[in-house]
Amino acid sequence: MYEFIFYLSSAIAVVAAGAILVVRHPVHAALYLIVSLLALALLFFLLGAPLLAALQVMLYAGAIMVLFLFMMMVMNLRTERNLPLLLPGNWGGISLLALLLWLVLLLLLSRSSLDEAGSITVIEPKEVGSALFGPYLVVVEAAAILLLAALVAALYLSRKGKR
Amino acid sequence: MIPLSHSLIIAALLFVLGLAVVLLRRELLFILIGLEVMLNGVALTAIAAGQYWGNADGQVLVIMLLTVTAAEVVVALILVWLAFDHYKAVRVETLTHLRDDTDRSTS
Repeated sequence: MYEFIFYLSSAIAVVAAGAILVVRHPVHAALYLIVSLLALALLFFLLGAPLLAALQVMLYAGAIMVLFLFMMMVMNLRTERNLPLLLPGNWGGISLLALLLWLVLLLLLSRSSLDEAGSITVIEPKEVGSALFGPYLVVVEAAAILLLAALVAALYLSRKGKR
Repeated sequence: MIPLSHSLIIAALLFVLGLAVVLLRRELLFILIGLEVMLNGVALTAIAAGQYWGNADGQVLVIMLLTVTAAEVVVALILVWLAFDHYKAVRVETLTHLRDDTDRSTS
């Protein structure tokens, strides 16, 4: 059962990533990317990383994809394409994949199949935190500097009245 | 129990699909989305390896990857927006202003 859930969700992730190659509108690509990211979050949970599964849903599918969609809204690509976006036949694939992913999630929650897998050692968030602030403290500081640099770059690039 | 090679195969498939999106779709937003798919393949590799060896180093690596991705996406999206704003460019073929033989009439 565990293997079935794993391979089904990985197939959803791969199919959604492959669908990005063939869709035409960037918003559809963003929707497929969200489905792929959620399937990957399920894979992370199945591989014994519950903290990363939660972070994947919150940061990737929440924050970063909101940035993408907001930027697509601001850019307002190609005004002649401003027709209603989700034409019938266009959202079928996305909703089918999302429904399949939801069914997989229901299956996982109803069976609690992590218990019967047994051999998966769940790496708790406590271990990750103690590793993050123990031997990897310098990396955390570097990440803080990187985020500060990204903030400065974003403020500089988006300032009003340049040149 | 999933063998490590299957997880690595899935991660490699994701990476190759993202690389194909970067190389084949020549629109700036699609290139960024392909980069996201590639980075997620890398994250799946790190998680699977961390599970295989049973320590938390893979998850630490993925958290760092999340940070780098967030910073990259913020700066890259602003650059895409500026390119669209100045040059009305959504495809990379139109961004040739660094070439010698074009005069910089815009900007």
